[in-house]
Amino acid sequence: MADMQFSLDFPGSPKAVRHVLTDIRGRAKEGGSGPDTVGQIEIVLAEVLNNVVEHALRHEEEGEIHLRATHTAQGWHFDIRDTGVPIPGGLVPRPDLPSPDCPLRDLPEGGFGWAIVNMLARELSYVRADGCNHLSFSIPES
Amino acid sequence: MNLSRHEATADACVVSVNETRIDAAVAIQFKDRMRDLSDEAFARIVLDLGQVDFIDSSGLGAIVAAMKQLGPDRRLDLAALNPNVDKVFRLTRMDSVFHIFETPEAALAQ
Repeated sequence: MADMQFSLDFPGSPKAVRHVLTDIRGRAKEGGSGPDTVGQIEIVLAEVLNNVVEHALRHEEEGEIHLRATHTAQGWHFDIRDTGVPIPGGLVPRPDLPSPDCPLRDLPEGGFGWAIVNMLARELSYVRADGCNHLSFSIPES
Repeated sequence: MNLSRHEATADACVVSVNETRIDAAVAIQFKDRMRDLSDEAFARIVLDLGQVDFIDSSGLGAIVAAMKQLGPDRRLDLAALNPNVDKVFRLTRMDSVFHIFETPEAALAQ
């Protein structure tokens, strides 16, 4: 399989994220990835990009996201850059999965995002440099 | 957010999600629409997810919220989960808090 690389620039809005996810799903299928890999790419990218929109770019009306994807025989690698505020603490959040073992009224309605990312992504790294957030991760071919 | 409700039995209904995604862009609309459709006449709602091929954590949270807003005496069951949707429920262990059925018909037969 030939290596493939592409870049996308898009505004930090939920609608733009949805469009990009659908686009990348198509590209991953075309690139020959199986349904498990395509599904993992989509959910991890969704959580990472939603986090950029909802937190890093929360107060930026014209925040932009830059995404670069590289596909090799081993799998996919993504670099995502945004101009928003840094992740608090300067580290990738590594929360425990919220527990479902509780009464109905206490069931978690959030807090799943970074837990999902940590479970599925490999080589997850975060750097703050040049006034931008740089997050990268890999999804292996399964 | 296009949801439709069909009365199935005297006290149960099926709500079909006529969309391919329940994600951050529509999570609040989904929750509000579920509240509108959660008529107290129905003790049980079966959510038919057959057309949904993607949910993210916001969509998952909205489905949990929809169940919580029914209160302790009514139930939200799930049916027809596509593999990607099922995977998010299993990864987050939220498959343990819902009754999940292969089809809406199988849910109603219970």
